[in-house]
Amino acid sequence: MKLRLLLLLAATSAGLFAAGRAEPARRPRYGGMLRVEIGATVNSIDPSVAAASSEEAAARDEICSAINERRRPEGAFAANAASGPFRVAEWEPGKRLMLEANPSYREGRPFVDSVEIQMGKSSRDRLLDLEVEKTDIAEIPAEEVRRASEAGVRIAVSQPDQLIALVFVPGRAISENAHSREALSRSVNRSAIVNFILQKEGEPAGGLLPQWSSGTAFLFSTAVDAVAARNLWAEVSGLPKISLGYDASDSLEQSLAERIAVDARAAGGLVTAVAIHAGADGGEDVRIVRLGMASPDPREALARLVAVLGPMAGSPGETLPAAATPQQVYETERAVLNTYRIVPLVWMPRVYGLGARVRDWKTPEAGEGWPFADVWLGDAQ
Amino acid sequence: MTFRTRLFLLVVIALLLSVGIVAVGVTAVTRRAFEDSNHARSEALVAQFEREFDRHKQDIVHRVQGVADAEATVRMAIDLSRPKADVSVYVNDARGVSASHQLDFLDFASDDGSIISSNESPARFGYKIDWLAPQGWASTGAFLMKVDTQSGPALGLTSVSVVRVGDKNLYVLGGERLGKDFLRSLVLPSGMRALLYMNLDPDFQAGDLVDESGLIAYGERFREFVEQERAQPGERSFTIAWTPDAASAESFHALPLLGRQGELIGALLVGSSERERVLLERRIILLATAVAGMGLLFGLLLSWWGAARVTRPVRKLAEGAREVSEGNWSARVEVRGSNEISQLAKSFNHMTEQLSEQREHLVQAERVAAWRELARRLAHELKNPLFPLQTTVENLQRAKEQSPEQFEEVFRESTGILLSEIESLKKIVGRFSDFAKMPQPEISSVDLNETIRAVVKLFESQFSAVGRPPITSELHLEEGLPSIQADEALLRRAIENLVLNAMDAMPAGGVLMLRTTHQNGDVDLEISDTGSGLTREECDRLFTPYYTTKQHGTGLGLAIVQSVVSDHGGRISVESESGVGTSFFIHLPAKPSLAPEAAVIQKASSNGE
Amino acid sequence: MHALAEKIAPILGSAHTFAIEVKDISSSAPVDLNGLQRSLADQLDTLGGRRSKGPTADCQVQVTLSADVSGYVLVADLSGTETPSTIVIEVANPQKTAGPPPAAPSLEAKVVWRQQQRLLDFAQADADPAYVLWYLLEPERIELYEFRGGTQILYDAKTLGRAFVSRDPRGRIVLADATHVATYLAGMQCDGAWNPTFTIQCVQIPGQQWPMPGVSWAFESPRNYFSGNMIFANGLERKFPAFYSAASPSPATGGHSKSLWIVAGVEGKAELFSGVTEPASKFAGWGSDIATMAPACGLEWLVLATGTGDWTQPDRLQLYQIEGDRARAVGQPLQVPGPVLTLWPANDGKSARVVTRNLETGDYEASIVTVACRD
Repeated sequence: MKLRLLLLLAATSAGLFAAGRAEPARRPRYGGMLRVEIGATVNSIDPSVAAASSEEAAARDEICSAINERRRPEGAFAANAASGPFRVAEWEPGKRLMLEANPSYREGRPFVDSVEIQMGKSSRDRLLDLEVEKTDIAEIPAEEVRRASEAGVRIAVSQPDQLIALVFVPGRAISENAHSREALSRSVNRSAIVNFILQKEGEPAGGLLPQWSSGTAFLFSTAVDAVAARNLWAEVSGLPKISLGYDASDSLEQSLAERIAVDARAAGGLVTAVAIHAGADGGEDVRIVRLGMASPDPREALARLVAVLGPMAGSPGETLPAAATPQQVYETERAVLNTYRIVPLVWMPRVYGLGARVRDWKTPEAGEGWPFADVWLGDAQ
Repeated sequence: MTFRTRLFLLVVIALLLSVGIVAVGVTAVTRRAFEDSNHARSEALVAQFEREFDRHKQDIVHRVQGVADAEATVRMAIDLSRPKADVSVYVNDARGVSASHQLDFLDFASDDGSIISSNESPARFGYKIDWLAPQGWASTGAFLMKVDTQSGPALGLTSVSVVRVGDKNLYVLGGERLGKDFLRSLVLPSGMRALLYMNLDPDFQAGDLVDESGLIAYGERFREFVEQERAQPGERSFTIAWTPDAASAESFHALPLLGRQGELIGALLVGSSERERVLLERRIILLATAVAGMGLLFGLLLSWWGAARVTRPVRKLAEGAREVSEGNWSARVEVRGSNEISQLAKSFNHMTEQLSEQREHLVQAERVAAWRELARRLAHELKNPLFPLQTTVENLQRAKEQSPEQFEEVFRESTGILLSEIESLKKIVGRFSDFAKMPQPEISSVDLNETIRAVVKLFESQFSAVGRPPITSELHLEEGLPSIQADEALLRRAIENLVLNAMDAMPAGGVLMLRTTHQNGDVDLEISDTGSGLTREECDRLFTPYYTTKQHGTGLGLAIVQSVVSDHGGRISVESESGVGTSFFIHLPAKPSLAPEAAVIQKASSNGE
Repeated sequence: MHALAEKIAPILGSAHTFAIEVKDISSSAPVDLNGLQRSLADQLDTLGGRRSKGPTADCQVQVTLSADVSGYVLVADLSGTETPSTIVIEVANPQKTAGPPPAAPSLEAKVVWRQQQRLLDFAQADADPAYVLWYLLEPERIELYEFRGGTQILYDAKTLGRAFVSRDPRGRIVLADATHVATYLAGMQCDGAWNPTFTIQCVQIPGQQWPMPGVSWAFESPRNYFSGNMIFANGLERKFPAFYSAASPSPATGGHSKSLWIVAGVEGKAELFSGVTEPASKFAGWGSDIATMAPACGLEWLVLATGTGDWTQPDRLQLYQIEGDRARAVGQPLQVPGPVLTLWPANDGKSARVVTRNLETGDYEASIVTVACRD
């Protein structure tokens, strides 16, 4: 018995010893400048000014949430309002934003003294800066996660809450043909897009809400229906080819557009990918759109998606009651997608690369902005 | 055609022929030489292309094998050989590898032929390359194929290498774009160019034809020939004239470029400008033309001079001959030199001398003969009436002497006979006198058909006279026979003489045919009988005055006919066949001209008076 | 379920027969699907529906338990009705609607084999109900024993060779089926089959992937641990710190989460990772060998872990329940007479294979450890 106790003690000691070698529990440290790099270019942090692209709008929302309130990205605010955890210290539109901690923030002063946000950096530069520790936090494209991991970068991945979809431009002859819309939708190989282009960071999207949010995404098929696609393309064979527009500065959209064109061609359709430059009307029949979820709540998320995508597709937005049931959410989603004016493609997560100094990073949920107030800087390990 | 003209033509033709033959020959030889040269250059270029092509192929094979042998590729193959291998990791690998190995196209494909990564078509991952079945790719080498790129289909020189791990293959397909850059690598002689046709579209597209600087203008002009090549691939040649000017033409030699399974992937067109050849030919022709022109001029001068030298004496000879034929038997030709023409002139002169002398003799002989004939005729004609005269006078003498009682009766009878015979004498003398002084024609417009009809009507009663076999008259008088300028009385007399002769020639009856025709205003008259005919000698002497085949008659009838015909500027001829008949042909011009024979006849008549 | 039945019943009516199929695609702990199916069918019967007695029915009701952001939803897809319908309702945690409260778990071990030679792993192939075939993996050999009627017969033995010499050799047997067996040793992989005699072929492969249920781990042959690279059944890869063993929520639920893992690191730490490369928490007192056990006794994620002593001391096996980022020991630890050298979970997680060295006898003992629930 004694021996057993001794042995047990020894074992426990060994365990404790093992535990002692682990990093002790720690408390956050105040101070330092948090360096952040993003890919988008934000030209105005005033939400009343229209953004040039959905990417800029999304980036601005995230930044403004850090300046204003955590969960109200669209709220109006003054540049130096003292309501949020940070205040604007320096602002170089399109290039650099410097925030300083608001000492009188009602939830407590942020741990870091300041946040410097560099804008318009390429994904390659962002990754390199992470590796050489020139930055603390950087947005990483979902398709670069594998490469970043292999490079030893710390990665934080959110739930897939970024929707990439096709939206048919109203008024075009092709867009007004229901069969051609459906043919294109059924031709797309979403699995291949997720596996190859997104390198498995994401999931095929059949519906306007991801599975983790609505629980009913599995009811919307994501599989390629080659037979139906071929039949539908044959019905519209007399129509001119469909031009699929993508953002010329976005390599991911270009890859998606090219792949969709290849899939359509394999099914007997005629689709060409057309690069669209910012502000220009490329005359495209359908274009790729990226939109983030406004909230993890399926009702809120769907309402916002429909409010934004509906007018783009020329179809009136389906209205959703405030306290919609899951059934109502599903039926609204189904009604919107039955016209094939909006064709969901994939859900992508937001991916953040974290530098060695970053502590207590909590990946924001859908609709949430940067959690700068909760992050603190430790020693680089 | 004059001799001068002929000589000129002969010289010119000879010159033109020789110049032409030389020019054509030189042109043909030149063209042949150019064609041979072009052919040789084309072959050389094709050989160069094939060498360069082979070198490229080997280079591609080597580079693609380099990709296959690279450690990263081998690791990819090892990784993918495992069950449930994650292919997506490698989806972007082709881009970097192709850049580092300087390949325009690079695809990695898995064991079942699915594309893992593609640099030209990065979106085609997962799609299968159907033709990539397991086979001996190591021995296949590089081959041509149509490659789908982002900018459309292109021609690629491709090689396939296989990395085998366990029982799984990893295919590496790599290659280079074949286009203007390849053409730039060819060394082309001056005047030649190389085009590449890429058979990328279902139908001919001018945009599929490039040269070393890219798209060419006027590519549409190649449509016809390229369509032929597409229909039946093979080496062929053709020529394109870029403008109506032949010097702009360009001849092409097409070399088909075949794919892995013998399908037409493209064609190399080696072009060679025809400009040099055409210009040279033009120069040759120009030179030949100039030579021919000078030759013509020379020929003209030569022929002129030569002809002059040759034809002048000949012309003089001809002049002399004409004078002789006109009756100037004293015509002489000047003799110069001692050549053949001179000999001929001498002979001519000698001949004319002889002829003059002969004619003199002949004229004298004819004159003597004519006098003799006349004398014979006279004697014959006169003898008839003279004998009764003599007899009658003798009877008178006898009667006076022997029977004075019957003298009165014998005197009356004898004087009657004497008067009758003296009348006969007077007729005979009157006919001779008539012939001697044939009147000059009094010209007026005469309808010969009417004259003939009148004559026939005159003799109609005699044709069917009692006691003689009938004579049938046949008239074939051309309707609308034009009137001629003639003496109607003389003509009538002539025709009457001929009709009389015909009647005399048909004592047993027969057919008398009279035919008139006209040509160019002149009139022809034929009078034929079916009498006994004339011999050749008789025909020759028929128109001689006082010549007759009849027992009676002066023999002047046909002479008068001939005289009348001659006075009207016409001519008369006779054809006869013994036992068949005789035909007289009279040709009368629309207007009479002076007949030389008339002068002769007149002279003979005046001499006979 | 009653709310769902109330919505389904009017659509089905009483004119058509129905058949129900239930599936669970949520990532929750296993739910009693048969119970759900019975419950729904009973309630539809009560509401006037006509359950199909045979294999075919007029209408098909496909019920799917799915998870949304706030909890769970039940989705009923009706086909064969006049108009196809889909019904979606929110439900509470279906586990909470399950049966009586759970009992306390306890570990039970049964020794199935002993031998003097070093034993790396063992596996039982039930080729025939009449006899049992055991594969025994040693560092350079594999042996096949037939157990028939209480006796054991050495059926066959094959020499495998050795790629690396190690003081602490590791090995694993994977049975594809009764006639196909694969063995994984450091730097060597062997595939054996019965056709009809037993043959085995070995290849030396550096950098092998050792297959685990739903995932494979990359083994660092010279170093005798796993490099941290995991490849999941859907092809996804994750990188963790190097580890001796790892555990994630039960594979019985249909696959591993790519982000939720406990790894027993080579530095002696057991760390929990959830979605980030930074460990969410560390567990003290855990040894190098851990394995997930199937949920039992009402507890979801159960992990069996060895102790932290060395090989001169007897070891123990302790069951932990993982809730969030905390590990709570449940039940009493199972003491074993020597160091645990091998701990591999069964594919269904309901048992674990353990090889220990009995410090007293020197024998290598092969045991099957299971979780029992006692009130």
